[in-house]
Amino acid sequence: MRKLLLGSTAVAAAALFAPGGASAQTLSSDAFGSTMAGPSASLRGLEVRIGGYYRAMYNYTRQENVNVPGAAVGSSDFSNEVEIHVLASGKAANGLRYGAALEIENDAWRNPANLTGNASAAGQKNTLDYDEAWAYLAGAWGQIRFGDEDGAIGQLQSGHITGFGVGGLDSGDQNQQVIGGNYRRNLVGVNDLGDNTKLIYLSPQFFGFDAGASFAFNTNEGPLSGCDAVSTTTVTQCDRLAVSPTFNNRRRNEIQAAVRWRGSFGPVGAAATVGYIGADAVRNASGPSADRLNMLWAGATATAYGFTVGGWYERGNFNGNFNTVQRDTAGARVDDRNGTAFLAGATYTIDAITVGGHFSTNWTAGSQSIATTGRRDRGWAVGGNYRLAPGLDLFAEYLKFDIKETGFQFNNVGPSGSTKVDIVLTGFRVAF
Amino acid sequence: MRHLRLAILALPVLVAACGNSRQVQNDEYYDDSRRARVAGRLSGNPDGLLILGTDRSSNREGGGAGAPGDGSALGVNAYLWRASLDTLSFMPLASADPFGGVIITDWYSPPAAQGERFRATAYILGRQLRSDGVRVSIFRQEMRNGQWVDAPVSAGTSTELEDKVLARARELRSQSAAL
Repeated sequence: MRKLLLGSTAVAAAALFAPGGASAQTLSSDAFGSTMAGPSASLRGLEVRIGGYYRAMYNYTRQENVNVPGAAVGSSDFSNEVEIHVLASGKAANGLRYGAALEIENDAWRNPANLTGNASAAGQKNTLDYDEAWAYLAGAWGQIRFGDEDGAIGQLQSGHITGFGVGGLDSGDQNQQVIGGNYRRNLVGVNDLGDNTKLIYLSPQFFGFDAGASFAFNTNEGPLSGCDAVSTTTVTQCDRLAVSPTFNNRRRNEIQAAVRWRGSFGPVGAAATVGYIGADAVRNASGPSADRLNMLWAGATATAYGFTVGGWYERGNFNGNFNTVQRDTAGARVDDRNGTAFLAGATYTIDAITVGGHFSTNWTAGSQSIATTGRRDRGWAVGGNYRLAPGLDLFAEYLKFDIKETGFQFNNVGPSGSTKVDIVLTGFRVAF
Repeated sequence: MRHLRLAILALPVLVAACGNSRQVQNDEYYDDSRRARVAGRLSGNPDGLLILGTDRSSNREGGGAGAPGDGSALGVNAYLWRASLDTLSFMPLASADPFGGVIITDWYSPPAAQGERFRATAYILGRQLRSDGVRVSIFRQEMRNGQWVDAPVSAGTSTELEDKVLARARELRSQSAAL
């Protein structure tokens, strides 16, 4: 009987220790052998992946009166862009999920100033940098995310329609070939706030709702302080800029908060998000400072039968590119009107084809030295895709927008008060 | 204002305490990369190519073959199936039927007791991860006069193995749950 118990217990003991050192691939391993590995740390909980993206396209860009006497540019060009995504994730035995993500890309806009010959600008426009880099811890209590990443509204947003072409007006691709800041539309999409290094909390979902909040000390990202001296000539280069010798429209202590709801009504899937963005202004040492930025954001989308319609709206005291707005100076009024922006879009997908369009307008103070008139950016886009294979598609997109502000010189030459830009983008893109 | 801040600080605790909460997966947040705008992936996996570690993509929500509840590859619960294979992996495997949920090992003699040998049969009884979802039967023989003769097995052995399978299934579930 003792032998019976000994042998039976030995079988159970072998089973007890086998999974720690052996897997299903080692079926014949000797559980009693002296070389058997005991329970140890392994890579079972870790998963590391690499993803990629490549886009090649022809682009036609026409800007009103962009050419000046003695200097002109053509309208056509080829361009390409790459992204490399590295994703590491894992889960501890206690249920804690963790991971990190890094997005590497080449999206530098400008050639070096000294490019004079036909030599390619290797190491300049093709320089790889990183766009987003963040890590997270997650559990039943939600998720904490830290790093260079979009804020709470950026994570939870709804109504961002990018399913046609390369994303229409709701993407940054349109600006890659536009020359000159006065020819570019205001950046007013919630992703345009930037990937400034921030701390984000994202809640679990309950009854269809989830929420989030984020905080960043300033609008900068990456390591180091950004400057090597605190003086009136260099302080504006510092990430932690608090007081500027002259007016500065940067944001400080940026807070975002958002609530999202997702659900369905029969065959219709729906999502909606509302959020708040607030930020302090850099103090002006030589005059009135900017107002604190306060704005509300809302977006919604619905999907059914191949159609997706959506849009977003925002309003508050902000200027274009989410700059803070300067207050009146003594004896001289500045344009400190509130900003308002919206975008509406729709796509329709049938088989391998998706078509869609955008319409967007935003009203801001624009140039604050022109107090009588605000700035209006209005644009629309149409486009389509044909999916050759999952992860490989052909695209074509047409965008047109105009910008108006009476008295402001947008064009390089010619009349003031407005400008127009037409863009055609067509090519293919690959993702794996 | 102070009460508002306290309420915000208490938000994670409140939502975690809510019985109807679920964890939001990373792919449910908006990704503003250009890669995210492309429908599908050439690799067939939305997360890209696995270069290190364990592939858990099939266990994420909407995952493919092998995911719990997915009948395309296994007829029984995937965690119990893999846990049974792991638990009995110290014995040579005679046959394994993933659709019927039956694992039969070959005879195995522990080095410490060469005069006896064991054989195990595991039955996974369904698609759900339940404590009564697995049955393990142990058979034992002793060497007498040069021949193997059937012998009784200690009553608790099968139960101990079942407990070990369940513990391993729980561990697998914890490690491979959606990220």
